[in-house]
Amino acid sequence: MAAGLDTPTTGQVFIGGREVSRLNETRRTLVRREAVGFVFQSYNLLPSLSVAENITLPLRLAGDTGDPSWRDEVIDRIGLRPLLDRRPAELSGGQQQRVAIARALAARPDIVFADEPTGALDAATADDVLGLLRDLVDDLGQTIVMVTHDPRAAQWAHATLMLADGRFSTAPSMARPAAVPAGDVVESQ
Amino acid sequence: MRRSRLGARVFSRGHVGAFLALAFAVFGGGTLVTAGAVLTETGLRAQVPPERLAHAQLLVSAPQRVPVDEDFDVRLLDREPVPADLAERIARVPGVEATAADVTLPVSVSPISDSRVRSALTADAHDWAVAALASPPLHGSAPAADSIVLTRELATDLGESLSTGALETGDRVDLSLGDTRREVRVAGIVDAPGAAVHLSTATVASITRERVDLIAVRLDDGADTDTVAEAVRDAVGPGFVVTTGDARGAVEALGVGNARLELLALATSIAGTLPLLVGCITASALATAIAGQRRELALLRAVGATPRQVRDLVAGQATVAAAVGLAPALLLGYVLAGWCNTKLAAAGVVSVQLPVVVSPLAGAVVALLTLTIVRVSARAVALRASRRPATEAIGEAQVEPRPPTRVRTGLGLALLGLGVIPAFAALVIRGEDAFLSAASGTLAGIVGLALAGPVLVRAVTGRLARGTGEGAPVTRWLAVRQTRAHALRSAGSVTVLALAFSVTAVQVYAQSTLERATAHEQTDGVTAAARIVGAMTPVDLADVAEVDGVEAAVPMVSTSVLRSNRWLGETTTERFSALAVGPDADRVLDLDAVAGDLAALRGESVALDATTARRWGVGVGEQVALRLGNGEQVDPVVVATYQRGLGFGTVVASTDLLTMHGLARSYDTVLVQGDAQAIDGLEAWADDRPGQRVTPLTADAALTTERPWLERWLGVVVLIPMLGYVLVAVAASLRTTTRRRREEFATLRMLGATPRQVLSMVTREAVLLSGLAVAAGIGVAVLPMSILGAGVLGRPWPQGPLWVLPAIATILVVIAVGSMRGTTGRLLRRSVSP
Repeated sequence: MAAGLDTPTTGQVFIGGREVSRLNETRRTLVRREAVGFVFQSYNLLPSLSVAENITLPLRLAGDTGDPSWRDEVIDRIGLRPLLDRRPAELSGGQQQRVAIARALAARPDIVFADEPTGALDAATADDVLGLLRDLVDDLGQTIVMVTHDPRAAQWAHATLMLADGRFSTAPSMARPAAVPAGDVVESQ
Repeated sequence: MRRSRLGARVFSRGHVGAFLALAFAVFGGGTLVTAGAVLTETGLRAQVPPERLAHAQLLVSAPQRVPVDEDFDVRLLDREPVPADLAERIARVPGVEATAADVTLPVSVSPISDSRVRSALTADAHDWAVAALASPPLHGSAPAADSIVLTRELATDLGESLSTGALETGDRVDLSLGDTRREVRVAGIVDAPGAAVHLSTATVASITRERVDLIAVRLDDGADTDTVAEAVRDAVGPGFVVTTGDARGAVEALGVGNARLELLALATSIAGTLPLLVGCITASALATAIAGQRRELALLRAVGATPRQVRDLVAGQATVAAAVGLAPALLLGYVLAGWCNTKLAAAGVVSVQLPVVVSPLAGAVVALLTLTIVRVSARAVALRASRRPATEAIGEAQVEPRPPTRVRTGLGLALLGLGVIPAFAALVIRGEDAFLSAASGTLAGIVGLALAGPVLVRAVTGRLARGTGEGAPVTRWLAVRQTRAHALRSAGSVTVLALAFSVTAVQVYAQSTLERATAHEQTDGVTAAARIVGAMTPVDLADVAEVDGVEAAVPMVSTSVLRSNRWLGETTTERFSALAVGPDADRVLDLDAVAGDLAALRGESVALDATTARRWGVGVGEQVALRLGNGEQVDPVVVATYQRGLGFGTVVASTDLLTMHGLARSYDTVLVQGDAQAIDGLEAWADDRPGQRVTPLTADAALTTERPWLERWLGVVVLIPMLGYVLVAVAASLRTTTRRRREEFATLRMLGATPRQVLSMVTREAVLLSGLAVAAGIGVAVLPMSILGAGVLGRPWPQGPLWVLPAIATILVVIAVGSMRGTTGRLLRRSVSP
């Protein structure tokens, strides 16, 4: 709902300062593709497109060429340069998720929603991907909202909200990897 | 077994759509195949009770067929005679009360009023002795040398033209019989079926001495028909057929037997090609259904199902779906068969309307065959999926099936090439063989397309993909890439759409090209000034020849001949349609002679189509062994060979050849050469004759064959329901494959594609698919038809209504776009969620 995929029955949703809950489906789509990036548990890459084409797909759909230097920076930062001509089926799970992250960032969204981004990955690869997400926040100033069941994944966040039985509850204090600065825990209202 | 049936129930719940498509495929196909099967059974077993000869419990006739080694006998279309003295042998058999030799002679009868001959009618004449077997109600007396008996119906018909009411006993009529005309008295009117003339036995014997059509036998009261029939069989020997019961109807009226043959040929051609088509559609529906549950099948394998169990499961599902479609199909098939039978007879495609044989046999055969085909193909389609290692199965379950093998592609490309080659035959050979070979080549082309399709689609879309670069609209860019990536899926749809396109093109253009070529040859080949259509006797012909200004009157009779040929050590017997023409044929016809002269066509002689003469290895001046329509073996001399075989048939015989061998038929058509005065005279002559029509022939008026339109366009009429069925099946399959793309559409939506963009992409894919299908159809069908047009008429494009091509192309696009866009629209209405 916060990503503008669905509309609330009560309350309001603001993305980048715009109220989206009363927009129709097409207008919400336009807001989404400008301001929101998505990363999914199952990657959701289009098997018919190459890595490069998958990354630029959201931009093409927006009829936008985007910022080539930003795109190059993202590709290099994520380490996809050697894989650009491959098809998703030729990549490992970790590599596919990196492509999905690059795709989410390509349009320089205000916010990236990541839904269980490591749910399908082994522990080592998951750590790599989470490290990458954290680096993107730290180095590029990207806002990322991640949903996860994995307490280890949650440790990488600056702030954590716990959702239990449909309500936010105060997050317990968590141990964090040494390299990661502690974030604020936002409490539910 | 029970476990897999339970599995089938639980399992198919998620794939109802795909299995409904299969049920629909079976329903549509089953209906058409059942109708074909019922008509086949009718052709094999239908019986019409005898009318005129109903009172003769036994009929003894010739076999009416020529035996062929290791093949079905060939039926004779004209009456095969029996010796008249056979009647005496039969009469001596105990239990036989009386016998009579039956013949049918063409006569024309004109009432005489105020000493003027009025309104002639042509009818069949029979020996009174046959009718007398039944002692029918006779008003007046039996016919003698100078008198005749008319049936009530004919007496009424003749009287109508005089506006004096029906003819009565004592009236005088003019009777043309054989080549003589004389005045006779109506001795009696008989209440017997049909419009016929009855002559005295002596009068008949003066025309036909030794050979008659059949012997009618009346039994003693209380005699057992079967016992006497057996005794008669022993008495006459194996060369004759003794018929009892309703089967006598086909002996009395050759038309019944001929109609059975016509219906059988028609039904087997439908019932023969249909299962192929239905098999293709069903297999494709099955493949779609199974592809939709590859993941579940893989999971089943992973949790311990053996490959065999997986195949059992798939076959079980398919059988349930097929049974759902089959039950209404069988019912509807019987109804459809009855409807077709009526229409075919009404249009004259089948000579006599036969009663449809309604028995459970046809339905049972179709049901058994369909369920077997579905079960076997379900197992075959599931074979690859079921055999793969369980772990691998899960890994690959979400991606496209593996690419086709090189052998498959190579074979497909070879067949595509082979499909066009037969059309070139039209450049060399003439006649119907050229059409047959061009049309059959298309079939090879379609199979080739099905095999090589994925690789071709990939190649074409690959080229398109390179052409649609960064600058192209994103929806077109995506559509090309999606079609290319799913080449196997796309190729299936392209093949079926191309099948629809090419089958239509071939059916329409092969027929229209044949018609145009035939009409062309007939227009060029007939040099007569006028044509008279309607049954005529030799006496009528003599009248025509005497009209002022008539230079020549040439009679024509449509008949058939049989020719036995040794080919690769086997003897085959084929039937050819033949035209018999009278003397002076060269004055009204120009058959474009290659050798010899049509003027010599008199006595025991024939002219042959030049291609056929070459194939038979006979030349002008040589004798050719033939059998006439009544089975008589003849060895006429070939007096000419000609080019215009399409317009005038394979064999043009002299009418003398028929009359010399007992085929005294009335003439169908008379061609007249003469001046304007002749035409006026002919029209005045025909005024009094309701049975004849005079048509002046101008330079561009073709001697169009009088075949009913339904017969000529039967191929297309049969095609329409089949095509509708194919297209609905394609629509169902496209909907199923589109429904499977739900996740892909959801992903696109989340990546920022508006619903309009997704719809636009799918629309472009649909247009691309149908465009590829039309292109393939043009290659597979329009190209051969153009070569045919060039070969036969010298015009290298399809000969016929050209609007058919854009029309069918539009239908394909509408169906592809409608089904894919409609399904996508429904999927997009659901909320977007990962």
